[in-house]
Amino acid sequence: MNSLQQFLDSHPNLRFLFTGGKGGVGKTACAAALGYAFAQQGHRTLIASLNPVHSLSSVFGQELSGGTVRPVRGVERLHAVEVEIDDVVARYRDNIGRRVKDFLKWADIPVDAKPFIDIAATNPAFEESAMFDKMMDIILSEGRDYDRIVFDTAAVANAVRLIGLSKIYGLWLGRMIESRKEALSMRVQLAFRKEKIMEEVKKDPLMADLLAMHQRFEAVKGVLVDEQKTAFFFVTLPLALPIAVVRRFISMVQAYDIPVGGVLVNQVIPPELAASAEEYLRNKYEEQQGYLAQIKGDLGPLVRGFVPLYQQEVNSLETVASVARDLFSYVPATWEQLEPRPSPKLERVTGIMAA
Amino acid sequence: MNEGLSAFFAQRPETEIVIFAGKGGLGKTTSSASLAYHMSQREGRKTLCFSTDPQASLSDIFERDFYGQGVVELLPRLHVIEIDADKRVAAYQAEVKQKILDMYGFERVPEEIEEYIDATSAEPAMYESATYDAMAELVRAREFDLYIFDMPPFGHGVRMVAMADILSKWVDKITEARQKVAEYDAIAATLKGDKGGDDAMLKELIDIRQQIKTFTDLITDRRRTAFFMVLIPERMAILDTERALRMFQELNIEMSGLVLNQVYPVELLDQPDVSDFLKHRIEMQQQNLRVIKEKFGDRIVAALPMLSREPKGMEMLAQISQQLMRPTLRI
Repeated sequence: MNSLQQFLDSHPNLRFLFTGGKGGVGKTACAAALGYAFAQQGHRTLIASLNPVHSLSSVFGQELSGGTVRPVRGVERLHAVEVEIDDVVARYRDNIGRRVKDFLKWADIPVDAKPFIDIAATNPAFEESAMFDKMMDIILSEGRDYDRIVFDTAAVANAVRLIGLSKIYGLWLGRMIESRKEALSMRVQLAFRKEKIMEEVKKDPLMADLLAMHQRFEAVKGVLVDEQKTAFFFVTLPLALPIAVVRRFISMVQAYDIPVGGVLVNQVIPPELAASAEEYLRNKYEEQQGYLAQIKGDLGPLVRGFVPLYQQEVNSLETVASVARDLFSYVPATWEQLEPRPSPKLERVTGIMAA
Repeated sequence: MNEGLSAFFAQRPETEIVIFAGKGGLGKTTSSASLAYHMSQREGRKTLCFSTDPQASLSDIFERDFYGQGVVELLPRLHVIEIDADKRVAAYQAEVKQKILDMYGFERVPEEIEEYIDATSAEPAMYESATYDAMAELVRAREFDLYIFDMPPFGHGVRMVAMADILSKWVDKITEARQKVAEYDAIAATLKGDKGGDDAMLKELIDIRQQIKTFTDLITDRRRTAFFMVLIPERMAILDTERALRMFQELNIEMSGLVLNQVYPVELLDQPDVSDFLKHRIEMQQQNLRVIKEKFGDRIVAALPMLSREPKGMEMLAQISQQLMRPTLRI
């Protein structure tokens, strides 16, 4: 088994980590623990929550909300931010508004810019685009002062869609730039005094803007698919549903060329806990052994770390530190002997195709 | 408090749509599947359980794979569907391409346009609207007595409703712009001496808006639609629930009640061999339960016990549904 530390040692230039998985598996706790461990190892670290509903403050048991980067009290070199979607959307909207206005002014088109801005900003995907834009900011500029950045992302599909969005973003920008170039060269060809127009063209704010956006975007894409710099970690529990989700998610991100860092298994019941306990826990323990065997069969080579089942919520610096310790050192006593057993395939049922 | 969903449905016999919202991992899909089991097997209602969760967990819970297979009847009157949004988006793209071919009389779609249409499928909005369309279509067809929706975990699943609002505004804006253009076109056409034709595109937009409006009205109709939120006795969940309740209020949706899940029965403490682990857990939960009762006690419709096995398979769902309808757990 390739442990978490081995993975990190073999990726010395790792800068961006993402945690994903089914709801309720402990993504935020794992993101917090990874961030804590990196800071302890001497890396300046930022944990950024990009969720519509944040849990970082609850996990660290201190106030980290408000959308600004705050130092995590009690840990040197560790900072955190819970990105506020409303702020991000408002800023993104202002940005777009400014661009539209600048362009209309430059092009000498005397119309009210507001309806244009409204159309852009009420597009249903606007929130995601705004969030993605914020992530680009963190990757390219705001995160400059950090050696490592851990992104705590929302539910599985959201993270992937954020990346999926990057594809369309790129295509759209490429096309915009092309058509803008054409329009500008037309002006040059039609113009009576070419050199005069050429000067104008160089001042075109929209063109400059588009090119800048495009470069920014390409830079981020380059980072996201670079397996030396980026890794997606998936958190699962020893249960059928979370395992199924991780398997689906891994094939999804691989389709986007996103590097998979590995799988973390949370809430494993230690045998000594089950041995001394009542029937309730023993049943759970038995059930988990079967699922651990499935994890070994389905995801074995990707498993990087485990966290045992805790008696309390992860809601303080002490508990986060404990999760971090376990992620790097804990291995369930039965893991090595377990016979790998791939998940059974569900029987396929077909119905009447609904429209 | 904690009278069960049976009492709720007795008071609200006209309920046709039930929506479970809340963060992922608390038991939304389990609650949806259990309620569908109960209504179809014990109350004889033709029920459709619809998962809008892109993680396809409904298939996992029922232990049958029906992802992307349309409406499937698993047991008499128990119908399920887990839509494959990708497939729907692809179908929509094919339709758009066909329209372009018909409109311009092309032999094949120009490469550039093709690329653009394909790229739009990566749009998150496409996914959501595909899911949304599927929901609206099913409800419109009126083939079932009861529709149960398991909401995706984006921002508590309430986004689906907010989305309707945003989409509607967007269509308004575009319609307005198109209408202006249509007026100019009509004037231009009159000047040129041909009569202004129908604007098919505008008509389509207005239709879409109508569909959205119908569905939003239904979802916010307190008589026909019930919204439940699932929470667990942990501090984090309490904070989230408070936030979600505020959000519901802003969207003018009535929260019908809360389902409290994963509660350790306090009686476990009386067992002779009780472990320290369980003692700690129960003590922590009891503290949080006090807060929950104080903050939203009157809204709790059902409290479900923590299970010792993963909730999946019909037998498990039959057991859970009994607790959901008539809880025996004391809180």
